[in-house]
Amino acid sequence: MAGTHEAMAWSVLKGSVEDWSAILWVLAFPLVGFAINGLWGRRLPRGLVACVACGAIAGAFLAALYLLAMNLSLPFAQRAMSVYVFSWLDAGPVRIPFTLLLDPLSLTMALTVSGVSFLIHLYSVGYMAHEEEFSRYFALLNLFVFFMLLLVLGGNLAVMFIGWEGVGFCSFALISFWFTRERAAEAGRKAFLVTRFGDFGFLVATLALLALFGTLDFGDIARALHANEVLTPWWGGKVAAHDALNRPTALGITLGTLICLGLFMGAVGKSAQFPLYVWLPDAMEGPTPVSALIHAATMVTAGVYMVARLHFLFEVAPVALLVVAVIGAFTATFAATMGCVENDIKRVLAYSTISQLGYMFLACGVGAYAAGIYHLVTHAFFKALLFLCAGSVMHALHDVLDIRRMGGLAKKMPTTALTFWIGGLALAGLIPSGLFSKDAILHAAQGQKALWALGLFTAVLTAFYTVRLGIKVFHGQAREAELFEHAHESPSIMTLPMSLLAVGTVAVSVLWMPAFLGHWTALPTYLQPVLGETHEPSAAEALQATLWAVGAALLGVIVALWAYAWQPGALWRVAQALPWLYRLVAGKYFVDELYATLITRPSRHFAEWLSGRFDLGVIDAIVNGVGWLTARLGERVRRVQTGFVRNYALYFVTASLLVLLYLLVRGTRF
Amino acid sequence: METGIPLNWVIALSGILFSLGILGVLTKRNIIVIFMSVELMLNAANLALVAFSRAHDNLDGQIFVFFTMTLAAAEVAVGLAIIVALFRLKGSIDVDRANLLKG
Amino acid sequence: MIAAKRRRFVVWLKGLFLLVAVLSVLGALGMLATPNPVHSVLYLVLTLFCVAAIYLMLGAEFLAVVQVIVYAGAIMVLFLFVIMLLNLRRDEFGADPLPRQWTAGLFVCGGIAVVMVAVGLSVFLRWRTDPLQLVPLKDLSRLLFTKHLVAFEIASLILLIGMVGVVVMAKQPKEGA
Repeated sequence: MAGTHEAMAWSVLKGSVEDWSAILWVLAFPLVGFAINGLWGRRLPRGLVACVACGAIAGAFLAALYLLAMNLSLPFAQRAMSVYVFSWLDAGPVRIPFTLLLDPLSLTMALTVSGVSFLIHLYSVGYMAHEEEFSRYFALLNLFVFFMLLLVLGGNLAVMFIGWEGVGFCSFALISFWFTRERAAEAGRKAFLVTRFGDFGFLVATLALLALFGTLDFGDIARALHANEVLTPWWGGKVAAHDALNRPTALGITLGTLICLGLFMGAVGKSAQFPLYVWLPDAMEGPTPVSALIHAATMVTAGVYMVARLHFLFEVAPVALLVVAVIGAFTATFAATMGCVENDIKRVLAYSTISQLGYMFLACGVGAYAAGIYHLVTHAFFKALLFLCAGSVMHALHDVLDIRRMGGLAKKMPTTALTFWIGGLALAGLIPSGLFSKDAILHAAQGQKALWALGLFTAVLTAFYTVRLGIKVFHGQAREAELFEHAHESPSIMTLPMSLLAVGTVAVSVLWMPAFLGHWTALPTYLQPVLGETHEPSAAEALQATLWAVGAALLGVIVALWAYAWQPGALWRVAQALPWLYRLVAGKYFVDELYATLITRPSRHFAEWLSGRFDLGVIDAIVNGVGWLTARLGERVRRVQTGFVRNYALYFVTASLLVLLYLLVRGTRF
Repeated sequence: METGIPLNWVIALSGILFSLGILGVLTKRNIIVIFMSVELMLNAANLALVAFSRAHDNLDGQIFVFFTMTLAAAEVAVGLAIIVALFRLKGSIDVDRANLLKG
Repeated sequence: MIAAKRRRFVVWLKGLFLLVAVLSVLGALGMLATPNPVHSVLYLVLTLFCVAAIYLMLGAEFLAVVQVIVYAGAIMVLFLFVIMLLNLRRDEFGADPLPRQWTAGLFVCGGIAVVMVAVGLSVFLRWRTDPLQLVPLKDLSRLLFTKHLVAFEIASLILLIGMVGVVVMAKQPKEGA
């Protein structure tokens, strides 16, 4: 069950910020872009706003490329470097410096994030051209990229958490971008609160790690675990690292497992796994480029990145890794089923994202971290592409989302249709690179038969709903004539990024090709210093795994073609035969309703009681009461000032008499 | 040697005169009479000073009295001028009429 | 022989002191009791004369004379001037707005009187020098012009300032100013 690689001593060198100032450029560009567009964007012409925003991301991407070149020029074993920026928290036992981490994994993530972001920024210039709040959108988008880059480049859990929370906020702000719409505002709130719930586990685990190791630095913790150092935790005593983590706590769960589960709770929230996935479908209320960037390519992958980054910690708690794999596999299937019956074009893709994220967690759970990261990268390309295609369709049809009203659009929007199929087939796992990355995961999961079976079943479903979506939108008869009449291809500022993403989807497969096709292992080799060795299968094994995966995908394709192209309506009759099943799946298993009854409504009632009866009735009463009391007291005391000199003289003399008596009693010795 | 008049009685008399002066300050409504009561208090203090001066054979006490009298004279002059001004303003020497500072 | 004469004199002196003391208290009471301001002044003059007599009995003849000249002679005359300037007859005020002032005042003053008398009577005091010997004026003036010279000068300054202040304050406001 544990990773099919040996634990590597991950040596992290210490660098200074002068040597690696490029890393600050990567972060500075988007931040400055946010500042400019945020502060003065309203007064600037739109062209300038767009240039600032896109230029900022381009700058970040180029800086990341430069860092990659520098990193590749270093010898293999010295590619991990921790850059100290400034001493951030230094109060007693808590010492958390602000450090950034330059290593293969963070650079891979940084390049993916900035590259895909740049293309989406370009697309947004076209998509949001009619939008009133143009500059606010781009400012928030830049801010988001800043926080995401901070997340992946962070050198310790605290800096990563800053980025974690920051992207959560930007996600909230962008989901409810059109906040005057009730649904958008609610969706934003829901996203924020659900992920907050996961972040609670993350924080507790972080604090436990800090108390145990005294540091949150990735390199330091990895080294302490590898060498089984003796630690001095905050609760006293000295203990070896492994013993501390293997110590059983309540219910026999070890401390290490608890910590990892806490961290994973944060990942479950952020990456929309079961049971905290409910915010992602609703998050489609935001603008489509936002869905593409945040809820497909970048933010939701933060959980996967975190698990991969802390894999050395999860290795010590195999139970936690098992939980990761199980939840990943289950979520993959669970979400794929809901995607099959969904009729909103963006929601289908949302469920697809949840499902693919499940795959990535499955990969990490079985120890194939490099495979998970590979799928993360490929998914970023093809999922962003699919969302951009959906946006292109919506743009052409004036924000119609229901696929039952579409049809035959391939004739009107050929580029969109072509790029859609490239992305869709990659998603289904039928063309590289999606083919290769999904294969790698399924092959790694072969050790656990149950999980592998779930993965295969999900592949079938994935192919099915993808083809279903493609046929219903782009092929067949147009359902509504006027909509079809007005449809047109999107402007080139939108189709260009889409085409580039399509090319990228296929091109990125050169990073890791399976054994029977040339066996280029650029990516896993590059990631080896961080993630350890990846067990590479022989050509025969690889071919066999690929055949299983491709077979499953083809099965799904055939069923979809049969249901929607050759025999339309056949599947509907099947669904009618099992009405309860259809209602269950179409109703999203009523998870939202369950949460509403158990959590949302009681919380709302409690909040209303607090704000109404308690805050107004009790606290305001107390505060007002103090004021009233002061006023009454003042009125009484005011009467001392009678204005009569004789009264004042009386007070005067009485006081001196009292002093006299006091002196008499006490004696006059001072 | 024999003692002269008993000094303790002089102090006691000074105390009585002093408290009578205070009584006048507190109770009378005529500003002039209040002022005169203050003079009475001053005199009582002088009396005590002279007595103690003789008791300790220290002439500084009597010098003190000398200066007190001087200052009392100056003070009476200025105080009466103020009273005259007040009378011109208020038309009465009732001290209770001067109650503009009431809260 | 002389000692016996002295003793008799001293006894006589004590009786005189008591008489004068009672008289001074009566004067003070009278000052408070009468509603006529001129009568109050006269009663106070009586008290001041008694105090001067006691000074004499204490042997401070210079102070006794100064008391009569300055206090009774100048200050009280000043009071009379002002009373006549303001043309005050009997006190004719309205209803007393502070009815309980008298009782409170009596209490407080009674308290002070009791404390002072008790302290006065219990302090240990003895004549250091010959009680029948008057204080030589030479000693007094030498002290005044050496040790207390600065105070002397300042006192004269204060008198000057007082004079100027009085003139300024008591001036009639000019017509049309």
